[in-house]
Amino acid sequence: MELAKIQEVLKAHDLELIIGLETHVRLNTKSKLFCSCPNKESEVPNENICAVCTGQMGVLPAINKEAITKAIYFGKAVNSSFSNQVTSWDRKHYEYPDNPKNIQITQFHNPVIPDGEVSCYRNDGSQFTVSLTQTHIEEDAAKLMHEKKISLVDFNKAGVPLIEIVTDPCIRNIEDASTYAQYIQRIVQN
Amino acid sequence: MESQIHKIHQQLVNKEISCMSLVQEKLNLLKQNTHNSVNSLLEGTALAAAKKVDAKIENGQEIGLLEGIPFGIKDVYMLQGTYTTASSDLLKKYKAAYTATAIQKLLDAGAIPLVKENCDSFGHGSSSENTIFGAVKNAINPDLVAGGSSGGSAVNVAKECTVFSIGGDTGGSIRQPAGYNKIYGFKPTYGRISRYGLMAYASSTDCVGPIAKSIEDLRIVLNAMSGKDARDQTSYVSEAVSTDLKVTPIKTVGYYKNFIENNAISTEIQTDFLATLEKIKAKGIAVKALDFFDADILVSTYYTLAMAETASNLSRLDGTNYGARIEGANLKDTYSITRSENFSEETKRRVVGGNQVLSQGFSDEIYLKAQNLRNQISARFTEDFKDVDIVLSPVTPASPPEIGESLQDPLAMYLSDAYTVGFSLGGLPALTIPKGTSTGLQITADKKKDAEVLQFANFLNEIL
Repeated sequence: MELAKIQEVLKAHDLELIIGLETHVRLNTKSKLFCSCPNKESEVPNENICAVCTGQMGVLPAINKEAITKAIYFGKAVNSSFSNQVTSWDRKHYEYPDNPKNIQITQFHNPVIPDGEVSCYRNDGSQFTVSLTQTHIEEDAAKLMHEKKISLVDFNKAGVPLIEIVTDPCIRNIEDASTYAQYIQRIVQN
Repeated sequence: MESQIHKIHQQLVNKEISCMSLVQEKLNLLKQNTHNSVNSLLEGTALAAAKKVDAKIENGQEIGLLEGIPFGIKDVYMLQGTYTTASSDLLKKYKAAYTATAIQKLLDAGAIPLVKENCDSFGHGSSSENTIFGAVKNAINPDLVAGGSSGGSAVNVAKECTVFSIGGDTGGSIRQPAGYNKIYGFKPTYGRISRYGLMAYASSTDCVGPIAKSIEDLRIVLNAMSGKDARDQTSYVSEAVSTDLKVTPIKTVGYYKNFIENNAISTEIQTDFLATLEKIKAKGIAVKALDFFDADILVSTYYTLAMAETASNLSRLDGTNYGARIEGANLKDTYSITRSENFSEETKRRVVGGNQVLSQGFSDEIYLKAQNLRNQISARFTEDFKDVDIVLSPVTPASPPEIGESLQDPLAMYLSDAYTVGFSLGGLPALTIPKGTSTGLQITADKKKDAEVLQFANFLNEIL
């Protein structure tokens, strides 16, 4: 649907558009979030894997300091207060073959970046600010490849560190959402 | 009893025995498997390792204290290439892809693993009856249970099939079977030994620990396994416990009044325990009665947390990545059939219970309340250890039940853990010695005071 047409339909139905975004950003650390496997894409499936990132019995997560450091850089760029005295981790339970432990280690209660804001300029020179609910670190899932009768799992990206940037539901139009996304892209690429 | 490790070491060095014959003799005992203590034997690798030790001695090379000493491993530890079943159908054919840190340290010291030992499936039990390999029989009276969950390990040590065994203790799983089979078992301070490669039951209280026939042997094995491990971030740097176990004088010993003054404890254990306290007093040590949480609060707090953690930890066992998958009509079906068919009744009880206390609408009322109680229990320990150096308690309220009894009444089995679970929740070092009562005595000190526990155990050994 064309942008203009969406606005038209919204107006016709007397609806107000409110957008909140969750953005996943892969951190370019040397190793994965909880093990020493290289954080590297590969043509060969299941090349960069170990007991930890395939969820074998008896393994424990050992946090990658570089991932925390890189997340803090992002926090600085979005003016976080870093008011959390303690950051902690939570287990998100979901059962699916791309999730080798059937728990994803993420941050819910005490994320590394508890707040922040991104100030953006529109093309017309006016300004808007997107406030962030939180930004947390979590581990990526494996890649599933569905074939005719079977599905295959590639664990190369399982356990790769991500940050998930969560905004408040404060964006009022589609152009702003797109501008915000471009700003995020610029921040993380620097 | 004297140290078996020192004795065998001397015999090896003096060429009174060969390592091959020693290992072969133990393997022969284990092969008979009279008490269902064996899940699988590591015959080939054990004999090959023994041969190397003999060659070294023959060449006049020095050998380490643990070199050539045969030991057993509870079947919840990863040892690369060996069946690691957790006594479950789900992992009946599962072979470990790597080796647990604690076990690797023993291998590095030259100790020789002989056997993966029977236990309650995933540590779920206090009797070693919850296993696909048959209920483990008590070493002293085979009609009774071995205790659990490290029952096979305790029985192998008691029957001298292994010189020592490595058990796992989450709520008493080393201390209670050690008591039931009249040997020594030690649960160190939480974090002293890396948990990496121990199949997680309840991660917040899981501990690796040795079972042996003397305190000196516990000390040797403890020192070999201790230390910080980058793969277990709850592990910490510790000093080796020295042979000179008389450094700090123990002045005050405490005991929990409500453990002793209640209806659940057997009269015999109660009488024997009180008599032990008198013997300690007679040596000029002050004995102080302390108030503590009631046993049912300790047991319910522990089981709430342990079930929640095990439900989460075992959620990975769905048969997709490894384990005995049973195909269903679709993915969800495959998951549920695999888990329903391959988990034991007790494991299912704990997984369902754990998911219940974690689920929305219940977690605040139950799980968070248990977390809160655990903090209160820990705080109480901190307070108590300002007044006393050691806390002494019985290991169990009663003598071991007959095989088959516990399966009828799981709740009674949970209550039999009354004296051990509290110290697990506190992360404290706790040791069973086979003296004082018919199921032994439990010696506990404040966190990281493992040396004091061993020291006091030596003292009790002398006076009892």
